[in-house]
Amino acid sequence: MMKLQPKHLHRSLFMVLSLSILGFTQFVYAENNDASNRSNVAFDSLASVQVQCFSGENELLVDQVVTDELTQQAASKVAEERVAALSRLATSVPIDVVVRQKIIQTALQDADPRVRGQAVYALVQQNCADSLLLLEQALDDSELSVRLMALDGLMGDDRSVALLKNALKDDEQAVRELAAVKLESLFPTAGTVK
Amino acid sequence: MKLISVKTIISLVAGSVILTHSVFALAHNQSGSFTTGLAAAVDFYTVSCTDDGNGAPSYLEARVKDMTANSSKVNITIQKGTTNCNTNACARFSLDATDNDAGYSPLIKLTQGAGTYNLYVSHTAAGTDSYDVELHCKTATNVHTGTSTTSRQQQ
Repeated sequence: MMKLQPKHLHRSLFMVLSLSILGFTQFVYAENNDASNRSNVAFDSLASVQVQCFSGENELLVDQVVTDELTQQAASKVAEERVAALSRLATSVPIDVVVRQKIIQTALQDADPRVRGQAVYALVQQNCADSLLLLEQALDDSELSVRLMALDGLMGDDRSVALLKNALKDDEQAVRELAAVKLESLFPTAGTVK
Repeated sequence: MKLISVKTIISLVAGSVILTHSVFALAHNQSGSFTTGLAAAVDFYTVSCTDDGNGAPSYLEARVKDMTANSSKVNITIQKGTTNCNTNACARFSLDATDNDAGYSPLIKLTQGAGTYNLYVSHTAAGTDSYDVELHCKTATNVHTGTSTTSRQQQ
């Protein structure tokens, strides 16, 4: 049997340490890579939007653990995590309205269109002022995903219908398609809306 | 200084590396999104079930997580084979109806043995949707075996 010399032990330790450092470097690079993407925006239609939300009628009691968890998730460097946090905000969550407003406000200015789009949808599910104005601005966003989310949030009031009709002229087929489907569901007997 | 065999050291290091890799190998996830946003968009993948040493594949199990909260919901269909489908299903469907949580759709199984299964991911309406499909090929005794996925169409 071979006997272990100090140099063998040193080499083994060196190899293990090198592999660990390499793995950690790749992890850090991946995180930074995601963070750097946050500064490349084509056209963010929501950059100047100010959100003001109010407590709803069926507000849940504030849960500090959930609040901390969601706040942390919404501030993650990983875009998918930020999207997940906003997805949760699209439903009833036991979080103070001020915290919700702050998370959505920050997300509306995120450079990642998936986060902005999800923030638009989350905002529509809250009791916030000027939601329709925000949707109108979001419909001018350069990103298809943001425009689709804005369309999804439109309801059946006159102004929404006008915006839906305007979306029938969008460059993207998906936007035109969604607008047509929503108008069809609002006016099922009217046939094709012009 | 206490003497340790070089073999022991090598075995320990190699064992750790193999263990780490096998843990990752058991998790088979396919993430994607519908880039066109169209209602008719279909992302198509093939899943190859092979014997990687753990045993011959008996079935493929899969489920999907819709990662975008909106009106549109993501679903999957897995398919293999065309004969005796009324006796032994050739296709199964699963929809993630709740898209604002971390949960997946109901787990579906298709027992069509080894070979290539088709996986179709679609959504219920035009819109932005991203998803994560979890899939595993397993033996008749539910042991995880060779699973590999190839993307064929992205819409």
